[in-house]
Parts: sequence; structure tokens; C-alpha cells
Amino acid sequence: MLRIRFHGRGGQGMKTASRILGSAGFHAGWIVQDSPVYGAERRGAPMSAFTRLAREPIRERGVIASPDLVVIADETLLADLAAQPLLGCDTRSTVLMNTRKQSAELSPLGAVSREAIFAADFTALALETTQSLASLSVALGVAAARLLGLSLSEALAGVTDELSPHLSAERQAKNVALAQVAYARAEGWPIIQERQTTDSPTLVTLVEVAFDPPTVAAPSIYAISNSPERKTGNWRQFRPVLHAELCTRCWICFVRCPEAAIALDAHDYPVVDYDQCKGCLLCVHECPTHAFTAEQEVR
Amino acid sequence: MTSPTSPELESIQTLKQIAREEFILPGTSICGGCGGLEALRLAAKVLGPQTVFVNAAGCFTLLATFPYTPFKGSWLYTTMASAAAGAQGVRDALDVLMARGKLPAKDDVEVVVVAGDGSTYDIGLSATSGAIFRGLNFWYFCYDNESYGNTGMQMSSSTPYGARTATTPVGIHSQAGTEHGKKDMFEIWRAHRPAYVATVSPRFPIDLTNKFLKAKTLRGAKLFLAHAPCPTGWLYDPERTADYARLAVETGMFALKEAVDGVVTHTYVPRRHRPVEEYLQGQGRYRHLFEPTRNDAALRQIQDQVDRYWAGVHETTGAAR
Amino acid sequence: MTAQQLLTGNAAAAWGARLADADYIPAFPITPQTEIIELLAQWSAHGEVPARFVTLDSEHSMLTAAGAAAAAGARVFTATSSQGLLYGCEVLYTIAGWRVPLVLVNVSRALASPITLEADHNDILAARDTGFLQIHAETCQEIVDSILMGYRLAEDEQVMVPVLVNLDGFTLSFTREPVTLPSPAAVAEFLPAYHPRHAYIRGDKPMAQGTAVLGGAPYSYFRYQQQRAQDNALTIHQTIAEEFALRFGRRYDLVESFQLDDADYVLVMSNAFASKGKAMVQWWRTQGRKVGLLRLRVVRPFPGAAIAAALVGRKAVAVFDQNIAPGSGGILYPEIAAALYHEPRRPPLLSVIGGLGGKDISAGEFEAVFQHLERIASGTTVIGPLLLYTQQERDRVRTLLQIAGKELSA
Repeated sequence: MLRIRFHGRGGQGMKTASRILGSAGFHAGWIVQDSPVYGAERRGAPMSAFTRLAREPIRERGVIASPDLVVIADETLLADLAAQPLLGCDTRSTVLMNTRKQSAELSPLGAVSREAIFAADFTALALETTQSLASLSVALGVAAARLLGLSLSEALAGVTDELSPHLSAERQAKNVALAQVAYARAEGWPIIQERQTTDSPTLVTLVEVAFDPPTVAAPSIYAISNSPERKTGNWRQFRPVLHAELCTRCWICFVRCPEAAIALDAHDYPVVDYDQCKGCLLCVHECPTHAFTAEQEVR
Repeated sequence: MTSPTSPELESIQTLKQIAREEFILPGTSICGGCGGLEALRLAAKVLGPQTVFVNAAGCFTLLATFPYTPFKGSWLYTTMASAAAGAQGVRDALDVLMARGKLPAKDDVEVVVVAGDGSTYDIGLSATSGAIFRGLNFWYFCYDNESYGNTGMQMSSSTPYGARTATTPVGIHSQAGTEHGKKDMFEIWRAHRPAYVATVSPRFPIDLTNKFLKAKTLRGAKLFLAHAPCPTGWLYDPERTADYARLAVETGMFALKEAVDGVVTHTYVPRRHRPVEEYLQGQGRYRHLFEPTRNDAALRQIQDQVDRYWAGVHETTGAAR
Repeated sequence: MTAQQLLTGNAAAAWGARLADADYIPAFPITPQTEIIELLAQWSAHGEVPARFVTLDSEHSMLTAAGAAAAAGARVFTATSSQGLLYGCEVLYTIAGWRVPLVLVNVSRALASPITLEADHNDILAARDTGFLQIHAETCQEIVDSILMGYRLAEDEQVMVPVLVNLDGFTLSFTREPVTLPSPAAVAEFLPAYHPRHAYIRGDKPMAQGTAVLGGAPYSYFRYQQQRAQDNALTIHQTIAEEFALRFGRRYDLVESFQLDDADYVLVMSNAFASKGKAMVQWWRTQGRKVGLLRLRVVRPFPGAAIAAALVGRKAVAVFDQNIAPGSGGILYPEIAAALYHEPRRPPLLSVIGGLGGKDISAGEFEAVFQHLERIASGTTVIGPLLLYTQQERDRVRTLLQIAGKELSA
């Protein structure tokens, strides 16, 4: 069995990527299982999706604990405790990473050596070919298909299955073109082989859950307004940047920010809390003097 | 620091009178660009920290996700159908505990229901009706994104005619998507004779702030419908939330109004309404009205409905004719 | 000791709330519970109780208000029955999950459809997995006492979960019998005011309650804490029972043993009809038959060890279920069987379903049960459940069916 785990943020299309791979594998005659898992979070929050390809009926469910391939849509996920994309990777795992960095710039990721990390700027590929970030799903789904040894026609069949029927013919064509480019980009990379052996399960220690007093045992929170400990700044794809010389200190950005991620300094200049700003860009859009610009995150 | 929005103020005239202090902090799971959160955040600046939000199941249930809460005040999640009854229990408990000397009056809190339109218009309406009927002294804040948003945008009885949702797709039986008209919750509430009913928009923060300030002087049910543009569900880029909030008001699709003791006043009457299409166009949920072919009949129906509504409003006083 | 007075079961329940000095009583009418809230409404209106009494718009709202008031720090009493308990069932789980104490009285009434009025226990047993503790009362006296003990148990920091006290519609709710009401002063010593340290709503000490918990591991933790609280309740109940007996002279255990010491045969019963079972036991004793009765009183937490201890080594045991789980049979039977499973000297068990919709259980039906007990004691296998439904009743029902225009086969 081949186990592929996709990590992305809500809105990056990793559920679709997992389905493109699943459909491609299905067309290639594999027995397939794919499923997404998302918490309550929305756009920008970490999510993951799983695809399994096998020659025998698949008797696994839910999360993939030991992936053969991890696809990472966004490098910021590496440091995100809510994502932990490298969990369960071992020396036989491969990583496919969407990054602006060159492969040579990458350091080993946990147990995964540099030789098993394949990286490319799929965001740029997507933007060039389809002018849409939503196409990242196509690029990564197809690249993953190639890494697993599926043919271009099988990969394209997967893409065709999963593209929204609502897309215009032009957008469909652009996505197919992107699939071809992404497949080509991955063509130099070695093909991942199925593991020949099954690891024996590692025995875990089961512990007692003892009685705790009601001050502890109810799902209540006494640490009031502690949500900023949970940084949502890495949800951003673009960051608002203030050009103070254009700012008239009108308060509009401060009032509009749904997140309370913009404060005012002593002189009424806005201060963006980049730890928290989710990058909705309302402030950029609303600023009457265009004192904010949106800049793509480089991470 | 002023905290909260200077309580001695009866009303504000400029943005700069809005409190600097925040009472709902960042770091939550709510979508970026959420119009409902923007409205709630502004409301919280008037309500201040001595507040308990009593919540019904919906998107905002995720505001307090263990182990994190963004609130400086308190929070109680109840059920989808009975947040107003939860408010009843809390308000009654605080009153009786104070009356029996078990709670100092200084530790009293404002009791505020926070519910989406699915709860407000549908499953929780009976409980809210009961609470208003009983004259409960509480606040009700509905963030109205016109669908069951937390479950992925299905039709609620707040979904407007012509909007496409996951359960009212455009198909052979319906070219409009949602065929029903939105329930008039303002009038349903007003028929209960509450102390105060208002609509608010996050794009009109002074109007919003002043309505909360006014309600603060009143006892009884103080009910707010907040227009809550939803980038995730209405299918537009999050930076445009304030645009759609503004256009909803300027096209007349969302009327800013209030009713004190049942008497309705429109708090903002646009001098000339923009065509509704300016609001509809660009939202993915209405795209089928424009592409691949224009659905003139549906667009006309929406415009007619708006025109009929405003024909009943006095253009200078904002009073209902 | 104050003098006895005649009280209905409903009045006894209202007195329980009054003596417990509840702060808040949200209400909604339903037969046969309504008299409880009517009495409390009158007392509240006349200032005889300081509690705030509010009529809600449904049981779902009523239970939400009850739980929310408890979460705000008030001592809360409320009551319902049957359809009302089921209509508010979602909220029962919610309140238990908040870990706030309150006492809810349920007046058992059989469930629709067909809609009916008299008692059986499908309503209360539908709430068996909600996280509420459950005490099932046999007499009007026990109703008052169980409410007072219920608050002590619910508010104990080693427990801190809500309590359901059950009484049967009609056979207790509308039945007057002598009740001794303890003095308010004595009750106040036994049950001091509620001062929560874990859950309240106050301006100076904000907290978030009932938050969403995403992820199986923290969810498992919080859910299992309810199991641990119920585990503790088994022992805390006994401590409270001892203190109650010392103060008020009446002793209530998790289960009640009636003429069990030398009994060869045992009836397992609960609630008001247990009285009828006791009368039969006394009759059988005069006939030289060694029969006893085990009354289930605390049903949650389930006192499996006490039940097993009472039943091991008997010749045969009949478990009476005044309820039916279609497709399975009696609801309590498998729980009792499970409690005995690991006992090497477990007795043969007979599952009996009787008293559905308040149907009487006659002495003749008890005799029929005894006959079955003798048969299984001598090695005959009886595949249950055994429905208590007499030939006379069948004939009567056939007449009704014919009047309704049904064509009956001969």
C-alpha cells in the first residue's frame, strides 16, 4: 500500500489534491481510499487529507500515521503545531514541498533526508498557468501522482474527474495545461515504491484516567482572553504593509479589522499584529489613501 | 484608554469615539474577513467586559474552542435551539442571587445571546419568542450570514430569494436557487413588543455603536440583527466584506433601522438607492443570475421587492409610512 | 421529629424543592407532573419560598434555563415527565457535560405513540446515559428524602453532576400517603448553601463554559471524567445515606433488600410497583415460600456490586422491567445480567416485562412469575422476556379492536 498525506491550509485545495491523486490511482487500476480531515477551522487554518493506493482491499481508516509521501502545500505548516506535517515520517518517507526555495536550500526534515525531499514553486507554476491560487490542488495532486509512478494520462483523468463542472471551458483548459506542466516538473524525480514489509505495531502504555475535581474536569476555560496564544498569523498568504507616509490616521483600518489585529499607537498610527493577522486584506481594500499594500508572504 | 466606548456617551459622531480597547481578542478559528465578527467586535466595545455571551450552535461556537477563549468576559455555549432560554436562566440566576445577597451587584453582567441566523430564524425562534414575551432583560445579537454557514452554507429561512446555497442549487426545478423570500425577523421580533429592535451593519460602525449605546439605557429585550457578509459562503474575496456590507445598505437590500417600543425609524436612508445588481454582482452565490445568461425575471423580482419596501418609508424622517 | 402529614407524590416533590431552599425553578406543564410546579408557583407568589419561578416555553428551554442558572451559580430545581423529558433530552447531556449540579424530578409516564397517561419507565430510562445520576423512589416519603440527598450528592465536589429523581405518575404523583417533613433548620444543616468553586458567572471572575472541544483525546478526557464522578457517587451516596439516617432516622441504600436474607427466589423491582412486589413477598412468606425482593433505587451510577452481592447463590431471580426496548426486551435485565456475569454462583435469571402504560400487575400475575421461577430453578430454560398480559386482558383488548373496526382472525 502507498500512503499519502496532504497538508495544507483551508482554501489551498489539498482535499481536491488528495482526490485528484485518488481518482488518478483509481483510473490506473489501484484500489483507492481518500478522505479529508478538517477541524472547525476555516480558510487559512491547517487541514490534512489522505489518499491510500493499494493492490488489495484497504483495511485502514482515517489518519495516516506512517506516510510514504507527505505533500506540504505551504512551508509555514512545518512550524505549525496544529499541522505537524512530519509526524510519523521515517527514513523511508518522501516529502513533496511547495516552496520558493531551491531544493539545495532545504535542510533535512526530521527523519527525512535531503535526498527524499522534492521541492518546487508550485504556487508560481499555478499563477503563471491559470492565474489562480486555487489551482495549487491540480499542481500538487499531479506531481504526487507522478511521484507514485502514475502516467500522465492517468493523472489527467484524475484532474478531469475532480475539476468543478461549474468551471468555464477556458478555466478547465488552463487547469489541464497546469497539470501537464506540473507533471513535467516532477518527471526527473524517482518513483516511490511500495514498502515490502509491514512494521510491527509498537506497544503503547495505556493509562488510567483518574478522577479530577470539577475545577479541572469540566470543559471550561479560566484563562480569560488567552486566544492570542494561538497564532493565526500563518494563515496569511498576503500581508498588509503600512506606508506611514500615506496614512492620515483616520482609524478606518482599525475599526474595520474583524480580528482586532490592528491596534493604534500613541499617535493613532495603525500597528498590525502580524502574529494574528489572518490576511483578509480588508484594511488594504478599505484604506482611503492606499497607505496599506498587500505583499505576498515569503516564508 | 477608554473602556469601553465611553459609557457616559449617549451617542458618538465620529469613528474616533469608538473604544480603543478590544474585548474579543484575535487568535480564533473564525474565517478571515468575517463580517459577523466585525460587527460583534464593535458591539463588544459598547458592552464591555462585564458580559456573558450565551451562544447557540453556529460558526461563533468556535470562538471559544478549548483551551482558548478570546473574550474578556464570560461565555456559555448552550444548544442550537435554546440560547435565549440559556440567557433566561443566567439572567434569572444572577437576579435571584443578587436579591438573596449571594452576588454583589457590582459583579452583575450583561447577558447577551450570540446566535447565527440558522438558530435565530429557525430552530431557536421559539425559545427567543418566549424570552421576549417574558420581558427578559437581555441582549440578542444575530450574526446573519443568511445560511447555515457552519455546516457549509445550506439554506436557512434567512436565505434571500435568488441566492444559491448547498441545498438550494440552481437546477431544472429552480433557476433562482433559493425560491423562498427571507423571513422578516425584524418584524417578527417587533410584533413581540420588545424594548428595542435594530438592524446593524459592520460597515456602519457609528450607527452600530449608537444603537448599542441607546439599548444600554433600556431594560427588556434588546435585539440586533447584524448583516454579516460571509466571504466563505457568499463566495467573494474577504477584502470585500465591507464593500458588500456597504452595498447592501446603499442598494436598500439591508435597511438600517430600529424600533423603540415598537415605533420604527430608519436610521440611514440613502438619498438615492443604487441598483440591487451592484450588491448581487460579484458574490458567487448570485453568479447564476448573471452567467451564463442573465436571469432578468429574478433580478427584477429582487429589485421590485426592495422598491416596494422603501415605498413604505418616509424619505426624510425614516419613519415607516 | 415533626408530625406526619398526607401528601401526594407531587406535593412531596415540591416540598423537597422548598426544603432544599432552591434559588431558581424554571417550569413547563405536563401531566402528571404539573401539580409540582403549580405548588411551587403558589409558594413563590406568596413569598413562602425565595426561589424565582419562571414558566418557560418548552422543556428544552426549561432545561436549558435550569442548566444555565446552575452554571451561573444558583441552586436549581425543576420537574418534567415523559415526552417532556425526551423533548429536553439533548439538554440533559449538556448540563451533565457542564458539570453543574441540579435536581430534576421526572414523573414517569409511558411514551407515545400511542400517547397515554399512566406510568412506565421508558421515559426515565431513556435518560440513563445522559450523565445524570438517577434515584428512583418507591414512596412519597422517599421522594422528599431523595431530593434532599440528591442535592447533597450533586453538589459534592467528588461528584458534581446533576441528579434525576424519579417517581411514578398516578401511582405516586397523585397518591397521598403519610410523609414526615424534616424541619427547614435540620435540612439547612444537612444541606448547606451551594457555593460553587468551579462554575459560576460573575463580572469579577469571568470564565468560558461549555466550550467546543475538538479532538478525540481531550473529548475522551472530559467524557470519562463523568464516569469517574459517577464512580465516586457510589461511595459518596453511602456516606450521605448514613448522615441522613443519623439526622432524620430514615436509611436509604443504593438498593433496598426486602426479606432477602434467606430468600431462595428474588424479585428485582423498582419504583412504586415495588410495593406490590413486597406485598406478594409477605404473602408467599406466609405460605412458606422463601421469596425476597431487591429494589433498585440508585440506577445511575449502576450499583452492580451491590446487586451482585444481593443475588448470587439464589435459586432463581425475576427481573421486572416496567419498560420495553423493542428488539431487545427489558432495559434493566441486561444490566443486571452483566452485573452477575463474573459471579461463579450467578443465579438463573428470568426477564419479566410488566406494568407497561401503568397496567396493573395482579397477584395472579406475580404467582405466574413465581411458577416460572420454580421452573427455571429446576433447570428449565425460559427464553424471555415474559410479558405480563393476561387472558382476560387479551379478551378485553380484542373487544376494543373489534369496536375500532379491526377484522380479527379467530
